[in-house]
Amino acid sequence: MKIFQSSKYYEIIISVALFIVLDAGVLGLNYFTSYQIADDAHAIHLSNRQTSLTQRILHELFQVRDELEYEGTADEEIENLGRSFRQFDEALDAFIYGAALIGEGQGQDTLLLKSNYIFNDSKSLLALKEKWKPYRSRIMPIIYHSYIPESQSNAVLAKTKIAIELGRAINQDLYRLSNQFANELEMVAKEKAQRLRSVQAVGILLAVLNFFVILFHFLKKLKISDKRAEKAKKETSEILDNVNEGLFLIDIDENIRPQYSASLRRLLFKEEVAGKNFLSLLKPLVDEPTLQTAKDYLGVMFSSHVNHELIQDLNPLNDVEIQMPSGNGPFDTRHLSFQFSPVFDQKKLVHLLTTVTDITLQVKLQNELEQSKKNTVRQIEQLTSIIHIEPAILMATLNKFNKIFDEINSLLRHSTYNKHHQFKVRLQEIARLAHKVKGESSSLGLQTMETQMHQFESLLFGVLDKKNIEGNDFLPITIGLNALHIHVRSLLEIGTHFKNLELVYKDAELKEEQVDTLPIVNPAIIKQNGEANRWEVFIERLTKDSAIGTGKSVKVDLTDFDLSIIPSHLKDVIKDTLVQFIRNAVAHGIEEKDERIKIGKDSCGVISIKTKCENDDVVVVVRDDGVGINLASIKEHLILKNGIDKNHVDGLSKSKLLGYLFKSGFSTSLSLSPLSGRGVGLDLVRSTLNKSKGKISVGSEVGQYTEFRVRFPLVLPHSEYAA
Amino acid sequence: MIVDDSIVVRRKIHRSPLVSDADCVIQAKNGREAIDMFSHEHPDFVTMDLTMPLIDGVECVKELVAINPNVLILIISALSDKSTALKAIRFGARGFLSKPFTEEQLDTAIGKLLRMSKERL
Repeated sequence: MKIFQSSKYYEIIISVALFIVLDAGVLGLNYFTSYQIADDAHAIHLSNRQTSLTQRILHELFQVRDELEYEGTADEEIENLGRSFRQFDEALDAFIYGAALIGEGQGQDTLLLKSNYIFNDSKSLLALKEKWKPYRSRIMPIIYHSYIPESQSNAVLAKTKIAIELGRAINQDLYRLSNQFANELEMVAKEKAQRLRSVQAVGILLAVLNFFVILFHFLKKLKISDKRAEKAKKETSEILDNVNEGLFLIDIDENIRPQYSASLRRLLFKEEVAGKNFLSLLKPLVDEPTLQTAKDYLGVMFSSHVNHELIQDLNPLNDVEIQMPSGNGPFDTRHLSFQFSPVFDQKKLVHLLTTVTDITLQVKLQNELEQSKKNTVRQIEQLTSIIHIEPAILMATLNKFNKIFDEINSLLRHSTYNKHHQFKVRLQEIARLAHKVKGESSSLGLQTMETQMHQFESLLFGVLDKKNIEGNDFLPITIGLNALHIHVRSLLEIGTHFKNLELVYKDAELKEEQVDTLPIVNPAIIKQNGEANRWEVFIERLTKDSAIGTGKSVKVDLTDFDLSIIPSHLKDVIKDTLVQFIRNAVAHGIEEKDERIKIGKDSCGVISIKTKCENDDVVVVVRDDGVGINLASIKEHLILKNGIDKNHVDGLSKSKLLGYLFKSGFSTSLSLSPLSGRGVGLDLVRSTLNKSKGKISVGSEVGQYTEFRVRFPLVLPHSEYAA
Repeated sequence: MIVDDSIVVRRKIHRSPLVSDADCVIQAKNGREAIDMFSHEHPDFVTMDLTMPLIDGVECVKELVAINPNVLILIISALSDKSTALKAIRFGARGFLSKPFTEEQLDTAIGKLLRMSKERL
């Protein structure tokens, strides 16, 4: 029934049906008419027989008369006459009233005239009937007798003569009328044949016309349809040849169908993909887990129970990174995205339309955007990290950092080192310089710089911890140093903007050397002119920032801190030293709040910093009210971490033990943090003191305090010390 | 039925318009509870988390579909393990929604599954 519902086939079915009907009609008509023609032939034959019977009857009457006259009997002749009479009479009645005549000599069952073959409106036939009636009535008594006795032969003879007399009179008429009737029948038959021919001709003509209509109409339709299909195919080819994306169909067996876009070859770097299994094409491009997930995904996409829109997030091929050979030799990294859409045919899912897009540019832009966002965030972090710092101090400090980095760079580039020991020494020097920068960054609250320095220190100690240091090990350090240079440059840019804005300070630009070269005057005047304030702010900030994240509360006592005592050539050294001592005190000295309360101390620890002049020396004392120095802990550390013999350690004096605190790499910290753990801080102090001819002494009481006392000569023979 | 081991997520799903308009909403905090409640209450629609204690989401989906093959199951889970989510879909879940999601996204996903179910009928 579907074929009937389709409009495409409706016309052709109607046309073919019409053709069949016409042909069947013609055939049927032929079949019917052939029987009629046979009947007409019979009728014509009978009518011709009637004509000859009219003559025979008269002839047989003559024979009866002659036989009766000469022999006195005419049984045979009368029988013949009777037969002819009956044939003529029955046939005449059959033509007028309709009857079935059984033929003689042709088989008893032959119907000479069908019972419905009637010509009761034929004038010649009716006239024949009228002429026959009296003749009939004269002949009937003659043939009545099957045997004529001698006594009646004269009577029969007389009747015969009467019949002959009438017969002679009407014979011509009978003949003529019979003949006319026969001609009529022939005419009727001819007309029927003519009609039949006409109908056949028309029928066949119509059938042929119908055939040609079918032929031309549908040929035309076929031609139009072919043209449309050709055009559609051409347009489809144009689309497939020019579309940028790779388009293809996958069937339920995961094979690629023959039609696909030209771009697909370029995207997948394959010459021919038709008929190939999609997953086998994908195999060299993705790792095994992704391939398996892709297989699962395709299987699910071909399932009828899922909502395809709701599983698009599970597509593992949204972003496939591939390495493709480029024309220039090295491989190109590209990103392809595979998207799948179901294709239905009468509500049954038959294919997946797959679109492959090169999203390399989008991914690149996305990465750049992410990077840009990160840069923006980083810059904002940098901005917020330095906004509190006086631009002049910031610039001076950053320039100092640059100089330190240049110094580190020259240490790295020194080409004469080829021994592990020499490498180690230089690395330790670099570590000290890095720690100094870290400390100063922390003191200024330059958190980003402090974090970067902590990472740089991790690199350094990663190499220092190696058993055999080689030249190649310095490469990541060089790269790290380069990143630090870039970071400082970035901060300098921001700092320059601030300087230009002159938001904080309206004074003229302070050059680096001016910052710390204000003359020693009355403390009150110092405080008034701001430098002392700046030191206070710096120390308080350093203390506060060092305590962040440690669970400790620390404050600094600067009651006896007098900046005016410190000569300008020592300010930098002392600042560096204070940085290390304060960080050390917070990390190792001051206890956590809860612990302090438990042992009856105030929850907030105190670091007091005092300055004084003693015998041409400047003395700086940094004292915390923390746990003090645990010599047992130092011993344990020496035995467990440094591997020194226990007996030897037990034999060490207190001053020797305390001396280890200043050795590079020695730290009693259990974990690493930006604040402590690498054992560099006091080593840096030692190095700084050595350069500036300073001395240090340490005092401590377990559970009570730790005190570092540094002494510098007010005047040096040579003003040579590390900045 | 809302199946998730986090009460915060269950409440969030319950608050969305299509869910709160349902005739009856039940909650389960793990796979075992989900299977028990499903056997008694026969809900038409289930949201399912994948990572749960006792019986995980994949096994739970398998059990629920065995009880009622026509149940509509929407997997709501983080996108980190796509292969597990696909396994759940293969066992009979109909769709997937990744966490975190908005109420609008949840309603759209539920609406799509309900429409699909009506078209199939």
